[in-house]
Amino acid sequence: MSKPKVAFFDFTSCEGCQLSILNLETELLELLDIIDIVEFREAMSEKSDTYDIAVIEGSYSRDSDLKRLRKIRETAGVVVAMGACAHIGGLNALRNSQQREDLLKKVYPDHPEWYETNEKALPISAAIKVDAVVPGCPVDVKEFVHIVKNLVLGKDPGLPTYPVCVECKLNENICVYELGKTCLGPVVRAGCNAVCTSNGGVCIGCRGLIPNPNLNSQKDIMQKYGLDMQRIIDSVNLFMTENAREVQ
Amino acid sequence: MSETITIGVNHITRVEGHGNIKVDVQNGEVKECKLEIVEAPRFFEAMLEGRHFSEAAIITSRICGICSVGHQLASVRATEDAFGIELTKQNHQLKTLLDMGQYFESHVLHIYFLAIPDFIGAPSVFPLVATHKDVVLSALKLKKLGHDIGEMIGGRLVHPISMIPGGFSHLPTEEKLEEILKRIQDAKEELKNGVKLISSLKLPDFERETEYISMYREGEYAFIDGNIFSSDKGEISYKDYRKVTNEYLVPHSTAKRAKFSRHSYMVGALARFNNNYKYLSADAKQAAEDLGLKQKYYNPYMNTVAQLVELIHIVDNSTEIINDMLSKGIKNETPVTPELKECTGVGAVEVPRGILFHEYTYDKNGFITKANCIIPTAQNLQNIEDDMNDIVPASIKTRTKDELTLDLEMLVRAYDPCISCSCHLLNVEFVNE
Amino acid sequence: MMSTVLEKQATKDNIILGLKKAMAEYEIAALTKKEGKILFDYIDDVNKIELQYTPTVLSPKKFFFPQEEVILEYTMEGKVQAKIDYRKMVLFGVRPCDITGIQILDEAFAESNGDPNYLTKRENSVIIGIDCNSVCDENAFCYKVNSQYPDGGFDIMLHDLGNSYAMTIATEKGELFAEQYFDSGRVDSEAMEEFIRTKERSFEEAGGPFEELENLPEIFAENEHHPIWDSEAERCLSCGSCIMVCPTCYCFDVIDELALSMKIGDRLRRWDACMLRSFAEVAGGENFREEVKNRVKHRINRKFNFLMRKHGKSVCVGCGRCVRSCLADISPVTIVEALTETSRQVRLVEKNNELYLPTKAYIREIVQFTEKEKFFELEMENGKSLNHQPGQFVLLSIFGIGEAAISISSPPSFGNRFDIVVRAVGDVTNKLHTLDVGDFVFIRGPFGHGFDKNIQREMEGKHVLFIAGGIGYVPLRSLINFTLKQKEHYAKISILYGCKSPEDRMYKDELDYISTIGGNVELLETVDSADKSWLKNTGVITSLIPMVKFHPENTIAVVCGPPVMYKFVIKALNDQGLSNENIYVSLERRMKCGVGKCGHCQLDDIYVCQDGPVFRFSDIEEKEEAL
Repeated sequence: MSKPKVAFFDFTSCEGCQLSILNLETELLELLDIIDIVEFREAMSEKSDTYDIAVIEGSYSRDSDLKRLRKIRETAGVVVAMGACAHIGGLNALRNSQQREDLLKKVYPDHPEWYETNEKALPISAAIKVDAVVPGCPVDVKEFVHIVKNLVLGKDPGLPTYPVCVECKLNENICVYELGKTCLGPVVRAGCNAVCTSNGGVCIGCRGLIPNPNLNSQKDIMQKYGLDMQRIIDSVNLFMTENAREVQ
Repeated sequence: MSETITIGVNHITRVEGHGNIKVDVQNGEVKECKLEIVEAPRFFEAMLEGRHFSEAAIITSRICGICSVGHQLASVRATEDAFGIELTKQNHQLKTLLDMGQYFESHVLHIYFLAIPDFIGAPSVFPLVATHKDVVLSALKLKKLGHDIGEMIGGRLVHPISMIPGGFSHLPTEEKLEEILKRIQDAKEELKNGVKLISSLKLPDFERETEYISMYREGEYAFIDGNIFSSDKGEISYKDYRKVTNEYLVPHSTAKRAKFSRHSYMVGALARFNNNYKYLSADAKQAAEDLGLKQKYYNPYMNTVAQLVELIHIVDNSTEIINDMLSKGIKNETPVTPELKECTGVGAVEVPRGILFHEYTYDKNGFITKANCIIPTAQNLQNIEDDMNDIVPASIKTRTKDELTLDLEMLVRAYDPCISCSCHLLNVEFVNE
Repeated sequence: MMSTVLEKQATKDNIILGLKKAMAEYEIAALTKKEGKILFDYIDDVNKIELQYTPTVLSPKKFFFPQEEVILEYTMEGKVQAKIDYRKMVLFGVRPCDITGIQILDEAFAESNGDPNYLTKRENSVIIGIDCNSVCDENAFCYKVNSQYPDGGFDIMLHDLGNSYAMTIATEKGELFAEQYFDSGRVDSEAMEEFIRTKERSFEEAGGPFEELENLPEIFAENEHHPIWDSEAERCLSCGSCIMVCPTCYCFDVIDELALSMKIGDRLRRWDACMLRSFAEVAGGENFREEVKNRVKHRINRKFNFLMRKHGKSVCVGCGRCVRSCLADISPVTIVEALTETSRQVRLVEKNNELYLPTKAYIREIVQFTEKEKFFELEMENGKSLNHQPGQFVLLSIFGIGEAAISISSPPSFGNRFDIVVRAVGDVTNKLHTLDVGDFVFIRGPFGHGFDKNIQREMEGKHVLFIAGGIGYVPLRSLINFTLKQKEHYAKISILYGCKSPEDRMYKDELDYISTIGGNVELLETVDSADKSWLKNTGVITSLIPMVKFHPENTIAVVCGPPVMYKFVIKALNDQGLSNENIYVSLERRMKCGVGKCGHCQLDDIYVCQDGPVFRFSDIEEKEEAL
């Protein structure tokens, strides 16, 4: 049986997710045993008109994106949204709270008309149906490999529905709340092995909310530990502007 | 080749970001020779408005995946400069090592994955797996080293976690440093093989002297601390960076351009090499000689070669740093909490592609009111176009259209541009404050 | 089981030396410091052992039941073998709470089907505990479940006598180990007695065991619907932390992982938690424990009820780890104590100097609804929102005249205005009716148990059936408008409203608007008597009920109206198959203080101003004075 053809595409993004894939190093070669990479603009000049799996990084933020996205959806059997930008809008969506005209005036005051952009930076699911996601900013390459493997095997890609706290505890971390910081871990999806809290940081929510988060309790807890409402909303909006309206 | 040609390369491959080359020659006359930047605007400046100082590095990191360490470094340095936080020795060393991890990752990616395929006539590195497997494995090994250095110090290389204003929230252990040291020393062998490989390749023969801008600090090959140096004007305070960059807009680009003493200037490995040659390690100087790189060199295609020389210097420099840290032991320094006040600060750092500036202004509660970032690639754009405007008329008679197209693509690639970065950050005054 | 023979004593130095010798044959795990954390870990240098205990994040069960463990290795061609860890180890420095936990896990993994992975590791391990002679911190509550005196789960127990440890040897394995490695002498029995006394005193001062420790299984069984489950579940994030850190949790998930080569793979098990939402979800999508409340209930019941019956002791060992790690401050102690004391519990709180002090509010709008009822919009002078739940009430003062309890009629909002509708029946309300826009009154509250977040959540996805009579529409309106604002969250919203006559209808314009919404919203009205201009139904409110199609399993009814209405409406609902668990009522009583002190609103043993006015009918149906 032939190997599935995989093509990588990027839209409005920092390309850090694609870079992380290239960082697989030797595992990349092993991966090439089970898939054929037929397009990956950042690393190769070859392109292809046919592919089975399309991996898309970046958000949908311009009209011209829509046509490209639809073409990809038509061609690919499976569409994977890779990274926070494609999955939930990511950091790109932070600007969604401001009006398009204001943004253009602020950033390109002399010639705002030269620049094409939509009202909002959105997840690609706003334009096309998405079959699987690899969350995170950047993605965790182990998770990426795991999901690709499952897609090739015909298994459910399977993302955890439980929050980062589980993985943080499995790593036997001291909870950052005890160290005077606040963290979105209890309402954010696990799968990253709690990399931020395990390395001195806090969870900033790049992987999106778990299904049915208890946001009221999370808000109360963050207030109890010293954040005011505006800072709480700010911290959620960093990556989750588009899917955290419930916080308001 | 006929005297009328049109070249249009949309979305140049094997560069970071989206750029187009447009050349239009009519009857031997160059009507148009442009590098178009078509990256989607992302409005980072607007997103920084009103954000807390603890988030500046997290946000600017996401301007670009390859350069995320660089942006975090410049961002953190700018915040430290604003609040008057001095670097401890250990903090300086950790930041330098993190930068070096980035250099490893970035220069290796550029040299082996983005640039070399052109010289071997391949469309990408993947076919090389079959024909030059050892080269690919060597490259992957070197890149992994950069990756692991970044992980050891920052938690991960892409969008690091533990570097915050005032220090590091997570420190490497001595065991990890010892392990990395051994691998850095092994890397030297791999790099020497790289030198042999590159010296066997033929690079295009093109020279155009321009102004070279880099960081400078007496006594060392400056990375994260120092002033600006111009090959024309000498040393300039890093705080006066605007006087050097003088940004302006052009219609065919979502990125601004820069100029100082001439029509354009160059930043990056070749610029650093030209300005700071005397501070390179002995082995690095030797490698430069082996590769035909003289103390002052004006062939932009040699930027790639200069990167390889830098890697050897970095191996020596990081060896020195790690040995020093091991002899003194890792100190459990908690990051300094800034005293909030109205202030402005500038961070200037050398990232793989050249000198990068971040400037922030904070209000009395630690929230950003103004932000400015000037990207190395943006500073290079006019220089690239000026090179193109030299190459095209000279090549009309001697090169075919396909050959010239490749020359131009290779030229752009040689600069190792990071196009995503270059068009996201512009000077902004938040007028509604 | 074992002979707890106290016969030897060894200096601390000799113990450490002994462990160093043992490293030739065993891997040693002990309490140690690593990258700023205190935890149990394998050590390569006995000098890194910490003898002073600080509670760890994870319990030492991870050595016998690791976070992740391969149990099978296989090839795609069909070869398979079990993967069992036979390494020998010594676990040193475990405390009594964790030892009790290990004893319980020993039983759990050997029950019915013997687990080879856990049991092999236990067979090949020597457990050396260090006894505690005082409570380790304010979160530990081992003494409440008597786990500070373990009766199994260890081979040797060390008791700290200063420079030496006295040794209790519990098993043959322990005896052999001590003989081989610990240079020891006779016990200083006086010092040992001193230790025992200090320990006893210290734990007694901390507090004794739970009052009804032996009866907890029955108490839990009798209190399935105790309100503590709702209040704790409301804050629970289902983050799983409590389970990850628990010494006696042993649920796990089983996962297959193929190598990238696709030729060989592993089957592994990983810690899982019944507190996580997807734990009880099947492939078809059905989730057998979807509500947080049920997961909290299940978890705590396992510790003090279901498993306690099996193991003959509390399966919660009181180590305090879940209390330390819960951001929402949920604790087994609160729950056990609440259930034990049930509704007779006296919960003492600090005094509130402002308990009877009202705040000024201005009248901003007045609308005459009917002859006797007026609508008022009030604005709090202090600019703050009332921050109320639907169904709550305020106490409205007009100084010199008095104070009256009035239901809040507007839904919750961030603004500082709210609505009331007042019938002029008494002194205060009559006086209120003479006031104008711009006049002020004084407000205390909000008070009472309203349609809180738990009830709101319970209603989501269901068919909500509002049944209001006359002025009873007013308190329900706060909830009705709240649901109408997000009507897509409900399967259906039916509003049944009955009045004496059309003139008596409350919020006439609003009702007319509601009848135009359509979609999943329906409004059925009836009046006792009317002239020909009334085009809707006539008859009592119960006559509307058969007109509504509803499925009893997916319906919640909310009823408010004159006292006489409730009996008939509830009976009509019961006749249609709706159980009292799914009926909420909002009751009225005489109220003066609003804070459960003055006594006027008593209903059997409860205060309507505190436990009501909103009640789940099944909770009060047995009470004599309810309807």
